[in-house]
Parts: sequence; structure tokens; C-alpha cells
Amino acid sequence: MGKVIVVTSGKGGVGKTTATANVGGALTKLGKKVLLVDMDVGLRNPDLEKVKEAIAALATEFGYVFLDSPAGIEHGFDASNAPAEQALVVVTPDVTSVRDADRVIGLLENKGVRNCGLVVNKYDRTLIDRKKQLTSDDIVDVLGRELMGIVPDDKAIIDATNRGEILVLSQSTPAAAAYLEIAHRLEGDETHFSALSTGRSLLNIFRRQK
Amino acid sequence: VSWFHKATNEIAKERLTFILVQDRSQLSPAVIEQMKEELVAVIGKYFDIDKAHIQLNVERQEGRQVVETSIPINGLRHL
Repeated sequence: MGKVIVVTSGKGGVGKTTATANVGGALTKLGKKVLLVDMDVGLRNPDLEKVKEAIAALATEFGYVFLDSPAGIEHGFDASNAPAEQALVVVTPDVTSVRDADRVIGLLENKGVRNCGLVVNKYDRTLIDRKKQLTSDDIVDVLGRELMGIVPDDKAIIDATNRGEILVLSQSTPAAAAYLEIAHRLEGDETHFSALSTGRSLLNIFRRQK
Repeated sequence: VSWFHKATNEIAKERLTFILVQDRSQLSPAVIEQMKEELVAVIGKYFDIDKAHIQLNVERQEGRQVVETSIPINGLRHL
């Protein structure tokens, strides 16, 4: 029986779908069989029990099933949460995104989804080092949830998205490395947060080229 | 509150904490202010309170909400 994980955010535009695709892609690199489901049901109102049944049936065939929840907490939110045992909440380091994430974490908790990890996306080290933005520590402190990954702001994401590619499967960039770390953490492996390591030492550059 | 010498990330965190108290408690800022004043009235009977630095938080801990307050005191009242 595979793990069923909802990927959600509260606020749109934080990179939820990209995160879903890349975490899923990263897990396939670790040899896992992964299913990604777009839960944007539009205005349709699916029978939650039937959705649950269908996802549970699919979960027997896969190592991981990711449910890409639509933005906001309207249509499709319940449909995505109902079958999930675990959640990844994608958040960017700004007040509105963290606020909306908090609301979603509260709703997930009410639905019985307690296992809820944070993915801090679009992490801009230049801004954060200059104290212009919330740090990952600030966000974890406020939301009180486990940190599953910090994905650096990486222009390669835009390029890959425009090509219709999943970054982690096509390139080795800082964001791709961060998504691989998330995959390892989901697998229970302890890894560091490469987005927090200081600067680009020669050693890091050599490592990255390997 | 003086935001003059503060770094942006500190201000952002304060704004966030302030708004989350309202979101999580579903109380308006006016009601929260009133609650603080009532707390000051009670605790102030027994301690000399530093009113400017009272902090109030609503946190989620293991599935329940917890109200956390930090009320610094300047000294004791000798009752």
C-alpha cells in the first residue's frame, strides 16, 4: 500500500504543481513507482467516498500517490484531503503565503491529517541574507510543522516548465537538488538542507558537477 | 511599536504573528486588546508589569490550540 500525500498551499502561485511534479519525479529516481493526480475538479462536486475508494485502489499499485490540490480551500480541497494520510504544504517566504498556509494546516488538522510537512519554495538566499525576507526558521517557528524541504529560487524551474519538463528529471540545479532531498526525507532518510549551506565553495561546485 | 531600526524579516514575523493570533482565535483586534487589558488588571494586582512588552500568541500543539502569553515584570508588589 503506497503513501497517499496531498500537496496543498492555501495561496495560489507558490509553485504547488511544480513541487508535486518534482517531488514525484525525484522519488522515481529513487526507484519508486509514483502516481500524480490533478485534483482540480473545477466546479464539479465529486462523491468524496468514491474518490477515496478510487485513490485507495490506485495506492495498492504505487509506492506514492500525490494529490495536487487546487489553490485555495474551495472546490477540490476536500476531495484532495479526504483520501490523504499525509500532507505537504508548499509555502513561500512571505506573510500572505504563510498566513494562508496556516489556515490550510488548521483545516487539514480538523480533517484528521496531522502529518503535515512544510516545503518552503522560492527561497531567495540573497534577500534572506540581507534580512529582507522571512527565514525558513521563522516559518517553521510560526507554523509549528516539520520542515521537509527548502527549494531555492532557481531560474531553471521556469525554463524546465516552459519546455514541459520536470526539472529534477532533466537537470542538476540547486532546486533539483532540493527536490531530491525532499524525496529522501519522505523515504525517512536524514539529509541536509542544501539551500541553507553557505555560499558556493569550490568544494560545492565540484560536488555539483559529479 | 517602533519599526524604525528593525530588519524587514523581523517586522514580517511580527506582522505574521499578530495576524495569526486573530486568525487562530477568530477574535477581532479590539477583543484581543480588551483581553490583554483584563490580563494586565489581574496579573498587575500581584506584579509590577512591563505593559509595553506583553506578548500574546495562539499556537497549535499536538492537535489543540494553546494560548501563550509572556508578561514581563519589573518587580514584585509587596502585598
